[in-house]
Amino acid sequence: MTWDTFIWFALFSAVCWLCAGGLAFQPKKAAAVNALMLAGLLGMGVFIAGFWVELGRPPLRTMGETRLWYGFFLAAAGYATYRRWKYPWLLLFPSLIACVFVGINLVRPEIHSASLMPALQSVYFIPHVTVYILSYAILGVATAAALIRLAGGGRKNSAALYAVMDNSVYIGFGFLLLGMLSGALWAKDAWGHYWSWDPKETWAFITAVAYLLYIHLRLRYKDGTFALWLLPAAFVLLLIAWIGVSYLPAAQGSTHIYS
Amino acid sequence: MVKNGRPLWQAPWQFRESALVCCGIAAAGFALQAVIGPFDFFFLHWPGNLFILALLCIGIALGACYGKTSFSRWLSSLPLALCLIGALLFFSLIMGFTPQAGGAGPGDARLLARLGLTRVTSAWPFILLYAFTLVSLGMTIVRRFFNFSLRDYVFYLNHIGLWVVLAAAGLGAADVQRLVMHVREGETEWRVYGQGGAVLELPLAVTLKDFAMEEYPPKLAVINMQTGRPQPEGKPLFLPISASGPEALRGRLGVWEVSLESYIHEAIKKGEDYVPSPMPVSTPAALVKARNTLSGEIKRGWVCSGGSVPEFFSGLSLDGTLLLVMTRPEPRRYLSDIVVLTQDGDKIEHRLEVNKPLRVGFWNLYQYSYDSKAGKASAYSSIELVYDPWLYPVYAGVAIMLAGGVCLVWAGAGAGRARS
Repeated sequence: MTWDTFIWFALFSAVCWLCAGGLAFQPKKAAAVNALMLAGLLGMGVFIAGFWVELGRPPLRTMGETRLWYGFFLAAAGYATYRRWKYPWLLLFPSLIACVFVGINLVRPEIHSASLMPALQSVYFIPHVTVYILSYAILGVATAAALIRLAGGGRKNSAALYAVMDNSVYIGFGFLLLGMLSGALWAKDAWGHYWSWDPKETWAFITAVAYLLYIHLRLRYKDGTFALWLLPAAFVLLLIAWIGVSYLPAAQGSTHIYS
Repeated sequence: MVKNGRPLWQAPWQFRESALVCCGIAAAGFALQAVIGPFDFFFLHWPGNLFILALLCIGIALGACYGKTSFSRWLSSLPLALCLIGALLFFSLIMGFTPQAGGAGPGDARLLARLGLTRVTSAWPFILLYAFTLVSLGMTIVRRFFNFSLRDYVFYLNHIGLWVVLAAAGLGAADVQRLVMHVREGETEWRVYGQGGAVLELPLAVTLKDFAMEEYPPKLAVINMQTGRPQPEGKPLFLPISASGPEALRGRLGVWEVSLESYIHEAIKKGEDYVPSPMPVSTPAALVKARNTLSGEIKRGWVCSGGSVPEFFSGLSLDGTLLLVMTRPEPRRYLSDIVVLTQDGDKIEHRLEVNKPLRVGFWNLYQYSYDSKAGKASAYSSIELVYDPWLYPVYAGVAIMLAGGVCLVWAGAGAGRARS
């Protein structure tokens, strides 16, 4: 199996995942959702396995190859989380992002072979980035729920809205923690120390502490608007950690910037 | 919220008192910083840190067991936890917005430096609040054990893991040593330059048998001979050469259709030709054919970036101004074949690579650098040596927290409900 046959597997898996993500919003379609998700995962899995055999090495060397794994793991982790929590958006979000990765590989084949610098060649690369992407998507949902409440929405059913906020913060924070810890283990192998207060690390820490504050605040102060405001604020910090760090004057020495 | 009518400082302490205490600790820290300068990690060197750790554990245990007072309750209370998390957020935000690890700078940076905020992690307010967090977090965990319930498993995993990580990483920080050793090929080294240029002798010796560098197959591009800029300007095109064979490359750079006749990954220049030769200075070269799709004109010739030898360079002139060239290959792997000799007489052979360090006791050895001017032909390799005797306790904490993270994803907000 090569990149030439990829298009058939990619289209199959993408269509399966997108249909599953859409059907998840329909009650009583659980069997179809399960079948579609698993079929999509199987398709992508077969391609990765065949590609691996064809190459005679794990397909982890180029950017295009690592994107295959992102797509696969995002769909898999999103599906597992959906099975646990039954929120339809928890399936649709990761499915969409997985399809974006698959799509990049289809639409811009010239960057398949963009080479991966030595510092990025690690077993931690895929899990580290995948759990962070998942975490950001889930915390984005928490932010949306908080904004709906702040705008005066969901007044009749505020308990349900708060449940979505709390649940998604806990789950998103769990993934955030996994991303941070896998990053620390990777940093020990790549840079010599597990935590160096590199600007990217500092901002990842800031983001985590902000959500930690929300979690502890909600244990006692159930009806405070402060907690509601904390979620969009924490998401701004998250965006700085994710995208903004490259532009901060305080972060120009970061070893985390790959251009 | 705070009960109305309860005077300040009357038990049970709530949010107001917690916030005031945290501010007081920070203020005391700033005062210390102003008077005696930054915290001296010298006090935390082995075995001092072990002594402090023992003291901390005994203090927490005694406080939790014998202190049924409202004070010890407050130490493990939620309002205090909230204030400490808030304080941590405040100081980490300062770290995020202020360039760190600087001395006194010009203008207003001088005030920040005086307050220790250009090096927050060794500033007294941060250190004191960190220590107070260890006490409060420790008390919270021990107190929770008195009402042990398996339903609190997420609480235990995350809080114990965090406490172990914070204690081991914080107290162990002073024992960490990071040194860089430069070893020439075929030679053995056991000395490094420490801080201030002093020569240190290490308990292990490193022999560099060989340093090598693997490179990715490069790309082809068309440049303007006058400006040297890749074309088309602003959105240059690059044609990657695949390692799997010449037939893998057939593509277009603008109006030119390019095909590869032969590719040599490790070539040297011999006369006008390139021949395969696995030498340190060898570099990729390709025989290419370019066809102008408008005029049908065909050009054929060798292209080579030259690598570390400028004389090896070769481009294919397409017309008066355009030149088909090969980009410099990007590094794929840096490899140092080393032999490490320990004081016990152990001999360890290892191939050091980025992301693949060698662990010898409490030391970790890393591929750090090389002679970048010589590239593949570098005659030496720089190896970073990191000593961290507290790594295993930190990893134990990390493992517990990893389990905690998985459980958080599984339990969701139920993890919080079990606690309250």
